[in-house]
Amino acid sequence: MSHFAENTYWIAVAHLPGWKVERINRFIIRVTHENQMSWSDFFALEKKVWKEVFAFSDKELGDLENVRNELPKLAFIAEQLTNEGFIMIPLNAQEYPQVLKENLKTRHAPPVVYIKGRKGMLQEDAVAIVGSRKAGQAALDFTSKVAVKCATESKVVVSGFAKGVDKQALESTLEAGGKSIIVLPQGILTFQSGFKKYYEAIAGGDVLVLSTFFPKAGWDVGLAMARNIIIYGLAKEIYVAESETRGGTWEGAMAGLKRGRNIYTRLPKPQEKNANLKLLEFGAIAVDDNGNATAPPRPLPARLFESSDAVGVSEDQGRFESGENVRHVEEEILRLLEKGAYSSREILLALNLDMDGRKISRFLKNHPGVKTTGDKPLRYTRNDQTTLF
Amino acid sequence: MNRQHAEKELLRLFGFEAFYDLQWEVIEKLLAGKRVLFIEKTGYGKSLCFQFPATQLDGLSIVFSPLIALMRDQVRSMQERGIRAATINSNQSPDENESVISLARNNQLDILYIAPERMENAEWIRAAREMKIAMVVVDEAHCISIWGQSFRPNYRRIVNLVRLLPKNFPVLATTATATPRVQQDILEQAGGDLILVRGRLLRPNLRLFVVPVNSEDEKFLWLASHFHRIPKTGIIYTGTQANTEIYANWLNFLGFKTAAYSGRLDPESRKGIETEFMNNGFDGVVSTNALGMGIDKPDIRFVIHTQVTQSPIHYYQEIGRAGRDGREAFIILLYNAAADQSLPLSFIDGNKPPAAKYDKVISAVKTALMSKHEIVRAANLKQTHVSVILADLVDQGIVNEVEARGRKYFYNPNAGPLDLGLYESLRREQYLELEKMIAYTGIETCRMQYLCEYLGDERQSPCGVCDNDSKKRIGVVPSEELVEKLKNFRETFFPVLEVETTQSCLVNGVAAAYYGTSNVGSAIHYSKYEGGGDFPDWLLRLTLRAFRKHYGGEKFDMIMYVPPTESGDLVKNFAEKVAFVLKIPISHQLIKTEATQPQKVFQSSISKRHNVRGKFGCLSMEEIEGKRILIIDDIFDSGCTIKEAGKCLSKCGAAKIAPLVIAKTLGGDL
Ligand SMILES: [Zn+2]
Repeated sequence: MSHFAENTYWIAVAHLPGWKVERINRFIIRVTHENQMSWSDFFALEKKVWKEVFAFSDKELGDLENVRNELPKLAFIAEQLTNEGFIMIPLNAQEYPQVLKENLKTRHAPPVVYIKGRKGMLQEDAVAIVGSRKAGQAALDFTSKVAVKCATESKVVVSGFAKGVDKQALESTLEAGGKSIIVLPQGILTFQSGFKKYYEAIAGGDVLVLSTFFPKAGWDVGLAMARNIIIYGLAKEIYVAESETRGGTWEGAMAGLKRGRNIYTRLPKPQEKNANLKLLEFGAIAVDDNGNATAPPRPLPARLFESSDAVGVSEDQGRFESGENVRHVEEEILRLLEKGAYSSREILLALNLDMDGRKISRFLKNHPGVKTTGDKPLRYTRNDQTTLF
Repeated sequence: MNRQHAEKELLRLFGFEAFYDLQWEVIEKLLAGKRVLFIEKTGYGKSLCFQFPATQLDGLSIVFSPLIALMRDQVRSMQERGIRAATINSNQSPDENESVISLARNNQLDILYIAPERMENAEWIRAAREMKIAMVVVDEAHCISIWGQSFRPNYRRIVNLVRLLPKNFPVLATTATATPRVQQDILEQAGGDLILVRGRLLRPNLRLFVVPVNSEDEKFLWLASHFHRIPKTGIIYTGTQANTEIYANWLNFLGFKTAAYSGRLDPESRKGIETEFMNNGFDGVVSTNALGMGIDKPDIRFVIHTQVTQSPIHYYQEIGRAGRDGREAFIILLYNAAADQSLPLSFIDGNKPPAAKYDKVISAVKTALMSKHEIVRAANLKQTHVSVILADLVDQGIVNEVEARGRKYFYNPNAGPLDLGLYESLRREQYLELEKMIAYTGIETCRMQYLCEYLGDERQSPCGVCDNDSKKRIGVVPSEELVEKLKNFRETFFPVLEVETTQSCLVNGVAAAYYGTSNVGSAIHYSKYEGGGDFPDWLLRLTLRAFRKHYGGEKFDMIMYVPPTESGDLVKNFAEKVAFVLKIPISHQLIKTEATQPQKVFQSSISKRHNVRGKFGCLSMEEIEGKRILIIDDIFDSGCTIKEAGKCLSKCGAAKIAPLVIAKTLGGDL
């Protein structure tokens, strides 16, 4: 079976309904790497053999059986992709961007990347410029400057095709004669108008359009959030133009900081209302309006993620209720809440805790030293402190 | 399912007692989820090999076939037997097709026939993704291969689909025309897991004759002396569209009832001829190779070629349409060794445009997402060339077809350089094939044996019924009477200009001659481009004869002429002479409101139409209103100019506009 003939199976596997990316990736590794099987061989096996050899659960067997029945239909999608010149790059392909694997690991690396454009761009050094859809002028100007800088340094600019910072990054890059990757919040077959609009740049090899979702999937908030992970994953350097305290930019930046990545964040003007400063406090690197490193406005506390590593409580949530560690974690959380208002999810991320968010919430709600703010999601802060905003 | 059980089902569903062994061999494999390439002659019963499994498999079987009429007939006969069969094709209304699609989506069909070009239809692809598909059948599978005689670019998508279908999914490819090379190509393209089942291609009921002639006239004379002796009805294949008209006119002149058929006809006229042909309403249909794809007639009694084909595989395919009922059919090739190689050679050489035109298309495609029409204009090339070039560029992955409000062409930035070497070897191969076809005309052994060996059949014994085996020759014996008749015909045959549209009151007109087939063309050229002065009087006399023949005693109120671009007053002077002889007043009211380029600058009718669109005007409406107008021009090519002038005059209130021109070009553009 040729490589090409596997494409249908890859679509089936990459978007197994209800399976998390990590689970799919482990499944892929198991079949194609550990067992050295092609998908056509795997799907030619009987259910019984699947069960015996791979010890799938009944639920998993059911999912796989369903997807096997879908294969002829998926063949039509695979054919359309081929015909229209889309390229599928599965996890085990040579061309799969190494940077995605390094940055996202098994947990988040997309099983299949669908692209249209000059595929060599995936191997070039890329810079992500991220920021809010409603970013202010200062952020947009910053975006432009970083984009132009990337263009002159022959670096690829990655952005997400949302309003605000994303679009600005794309336009400024193209104006400056640079190269850009657009990461779609939708399936690649649903981007017709965009292909028309950026036709010359795509045909000329300056723009690459990339999606990791089911090719026919329409735009969706969930996909837009998931897309941010890919943007961070593709980039060697990340510039934050403007972040709010929630949403894709914030979560992506926080996740990046947690993994110890360098997140260059624009130092905001005093009157600006955004979360850039907060990111700097979490360890992001301050840069000026031109994207050059600069000193933070005042000394920042030690990096939270480093201290959280020292806590070493990320093993078992059971210990939360009893033992010495409990007090330890509680202290850490309270120290964090002194700095501002955070959702339970952010607390988990910031302190690298492997716990159930609901448990944290319950704990905090009942804690006398903690109060909640009216936001959604609910945020917690010390009741004797003012928040940063 | 074993054979015994299957044959019980066969009797119940189809009314047949048993399968042929090869049929069962194929069916058994398909039912086991295997992929098969089945090569068997026309009329063997290949269809049953997929019709039967379609009734047994759980889900829908999709049959890709370019033969619309064949699909229609098969669907009808299956429906009569209570089998859930249907077809989607361009001859049906969108509503009909829509309801078939919804049946398919709801699992209420067992077998669905569709044309290969349906794979280019976004609606269909969308719908197909929701169907439970059990098997895919590729009929006329030789169309997959560029080494075959009828390569179709839209089969590429079917091949890709086949390769992308899961491994244990049954696929059947069938053909009656495959050389070993084509067979190999199909096997490779389909991904290497097709199992070959090969029958025999010998057609014992076809009686093959070759009639050597020494001139084009002798072909006409042979028909005059032999056509009445051949059982009817059948097909006369000519090499060109112009020749379909000329030969049909000749046969009609001799008192037979024939019709000319070619891709040039509108669908309605084509349909009319097909129906009449099916009902044996003609002694014969004179056709380019366009006829055959659209019909399913088992009792075609003869196929005559007035022009040698490009290769034995072309020939076998075209003659294969005769005698599908197994009864005797006459297969006759009229061959002039001195002249007949030039047409197939020009087909082979003209097959691929020169490299510079490929470059033009590539540069155009890089600038914007365009449709074929837009590319034709942007690159200023012939539509036929652009079609060939785009198909090749798609094949090489340099551009991709995408669906964006109609089909557009997307340049692929990952593309490697264009490789024209492939087409060079294809051309060399085609020269060899032509040589083999020419050799066919000269052999002294069994002709059927020769064709079958060429197609890779095992060696057969001689057929016993071809001219070489039976020692029966049917040569040309020209009589003076027939020669006189032909001369008479030549002087009274005038090409018709088909320009009637609903948008104007233009009627079909007439030309005095074809541009390329007589000295008419060179006379016009001499006057127009070599400073030879007015068109000579003999052209005037010829044109007047055409007028009399075509328009008879019809009355006209006024003569007008197409205002010139660069050739001065030639047409005006000519029109004045016609007006003088016919005693019809001449009007100089038709003018160009804007300068146009000479039409010959433009390579396609799309550009030509654009060049003249809206550029005619009338100086005075009153003079034209209600008038029957004879409009004169020198050369009729794409027809764009006459049509545009007709539109303008219609707007000004003319009652009728009748074109009269000196010469009609042979090729046209489309
Ligand atoms: Zn013979």
